Amino acid sequence: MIEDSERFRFASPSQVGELLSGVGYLPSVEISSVLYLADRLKKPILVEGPAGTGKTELAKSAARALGARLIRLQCHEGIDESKALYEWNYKKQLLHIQSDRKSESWEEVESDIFSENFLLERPLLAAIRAKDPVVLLIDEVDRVEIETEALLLEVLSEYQISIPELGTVVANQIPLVVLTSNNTRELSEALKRRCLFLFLDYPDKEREMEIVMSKVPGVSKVLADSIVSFVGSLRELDLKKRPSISETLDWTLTLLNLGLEEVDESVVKATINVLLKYRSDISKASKSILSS
Amino acid sequence: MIKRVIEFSEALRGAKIPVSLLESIDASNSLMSCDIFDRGELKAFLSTTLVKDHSHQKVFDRLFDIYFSPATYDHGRVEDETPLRQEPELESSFDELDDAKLRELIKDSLLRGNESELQSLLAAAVSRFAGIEAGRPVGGVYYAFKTLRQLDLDKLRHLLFEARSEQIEAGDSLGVKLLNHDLDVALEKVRRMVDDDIRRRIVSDRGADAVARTLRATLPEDIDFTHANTEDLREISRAVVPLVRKLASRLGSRRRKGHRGTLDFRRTIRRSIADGGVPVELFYHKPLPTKPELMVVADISGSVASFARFTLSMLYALSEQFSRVRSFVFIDEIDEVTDIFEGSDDIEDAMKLINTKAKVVWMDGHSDYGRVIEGFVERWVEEIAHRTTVIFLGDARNNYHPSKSHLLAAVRMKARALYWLNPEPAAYWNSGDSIMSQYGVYCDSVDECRNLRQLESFVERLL
Repeated sequence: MIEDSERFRFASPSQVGELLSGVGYLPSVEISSVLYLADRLKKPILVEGPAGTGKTELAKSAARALGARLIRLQCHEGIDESKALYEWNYKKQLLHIQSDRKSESWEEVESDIFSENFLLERPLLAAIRAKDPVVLLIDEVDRVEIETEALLLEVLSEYQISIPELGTVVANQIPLVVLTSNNTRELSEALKRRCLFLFLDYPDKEREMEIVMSKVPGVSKVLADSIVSFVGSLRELDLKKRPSISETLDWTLTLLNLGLEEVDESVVKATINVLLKYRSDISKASKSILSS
Repeated sequence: MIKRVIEFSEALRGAKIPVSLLESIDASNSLMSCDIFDRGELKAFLSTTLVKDHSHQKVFDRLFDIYFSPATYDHGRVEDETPLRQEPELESSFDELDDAKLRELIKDSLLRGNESELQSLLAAAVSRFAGIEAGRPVGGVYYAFKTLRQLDLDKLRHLLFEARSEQIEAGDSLGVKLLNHDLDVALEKVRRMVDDDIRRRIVSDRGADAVARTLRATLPEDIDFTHANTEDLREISRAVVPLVRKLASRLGSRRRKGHRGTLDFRRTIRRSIADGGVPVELFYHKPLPTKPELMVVADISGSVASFARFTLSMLYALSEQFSRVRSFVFIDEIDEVTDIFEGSDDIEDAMKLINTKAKVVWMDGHSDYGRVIEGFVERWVEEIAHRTTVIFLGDARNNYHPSKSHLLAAVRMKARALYWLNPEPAAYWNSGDSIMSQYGVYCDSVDECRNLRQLESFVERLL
């Protein structure tokens, strides 16, 4: 299956780790292994997990690390092939027909108006036809309807798009594809089967500390330690919205800007609204963590 | 190695994790790019190719430990990275220590965060305390229990607390809280490592397939409500939230897509201007969805309480889908608790309040369905409208009281539908004091509802 002439993007999982760290994304072992394997098996990656754990950021960082262009398809309800794959520029076609059709026969006009000149590229087709290295990010794929999901299947497994009037467009190169999902609905088996699966959970304490220290320079180790363990204990609670990594970073910045050096009860009380966004969450947290 | 992977996929299927042919081929393919001496990498590769749902991860982890446990997996490989615990001199050097000293050493390695040392120490503890007998067909639970009891985790926690609490200033109650949280995590790790070690030993004794069969590897949605222990319950309630979200969005999109309403003349004309006045695209008004009203009548006596809890929390999480949810709870007296649920945004709090506030016990605190149905009909039957759906939750075990089932006919007459969910296996219905069929004749349907999967399919049918 694998031809000798083809070159892989990554030499080993640990190299993936180094590349990603180089652009400011600290991956866990799982993340770099999956990215490495996606390259080897030429399969898309489906990333799932709670909001704010760096799913989209992973694709962006991979693009940066590879020096590739990022092509992004933001999914939403009601997206269809004219927004995801391609569209005929039919206003231009109309103008073309009206301008000089005297000399041409209908066959000529037809073959003329269904040519590349009238094709509007949408993200998926753009990624397939790209000549330069690209990373394709299909964001929040769980937002599309289950029927629309089928549109993606041909692209994701064969890396080609069939356009009835033009024929099949086959990829020049196989792009690295990352799909993200917030798991608001069960994705179809067919889609899952074609992808490698990666679950991004909240990071463990060590990794989150590394992230905090690298993203917020000037934070002391002691402070980072207590910040991360406090946020970790919040995540154990049954909250509506658990604090994400970016909120940990926001909170760290808040504490630094206020010139605070340690986390104690009064500090938490004054600044907890940076971490928690619902009133009921805040009262629940104060009940179980602050008062004894 | 590929054979091993295929056996492993079989075992995953055995635990109801769907693994397709393509996925096991992918897993086998991934071996070609894998440094198979790196167990972590192997695990990451197999997990990403075989497991496509995070709630299956836990079962995967357990089975992975069985099929690729270091003990069997290391067999015949280079001796460079063999875990310390396999060196007999080292383990025997622990033998001379007394129990307190061993605990002391475990504490030190936890404080230093030295995993391999901790692992060898815990292995020594397992050899000493668990008393594993070769060939006995038992799961590891008993061994783990024995080891942990002898190790005395409370004492260990106390030692750790003393060692760490020096850094905390007096009166810093938040610091103490965070420390306690850290200790919980650490002790959980000890427990897990002891479990892993015992499982490894059993696997090398009896072989992977045999252990996989005895191991209880159940997905959260398949756990039986009535037999769930505390940890199971926690797992189920964690699974409820994502389940409800999925259900809600599925129902929502079905609603939106449902039959279209009348032509939206204004929008159609507006859009046709772009095409030179030809109405190429037609727009329709969205029909207003009709939302059913729900009356849930739940038995909350001990035997079926957790079933009622999950069903109620699921229905309330979906309350947007209904025009109103009214809830009633009973044991041998019925009381309406709609206000309690609506006044609190946390289902756990609400359940606690119900236990203290609702008047559900009349005489002896044993379920009396007949009396309850009589009370329900007397007090609330007038409020049942033609779009009200009534759902009874309970095992219909009436403790040999009169059934008074004919009263349900009035409920059925007035309501849009009457359903009964029974958390017992259908085979047990109508045995002993269960009088399911007497009530069943008045219901549109009686469903067995023993786990989240069945509950989910019922709720979906309901809407």
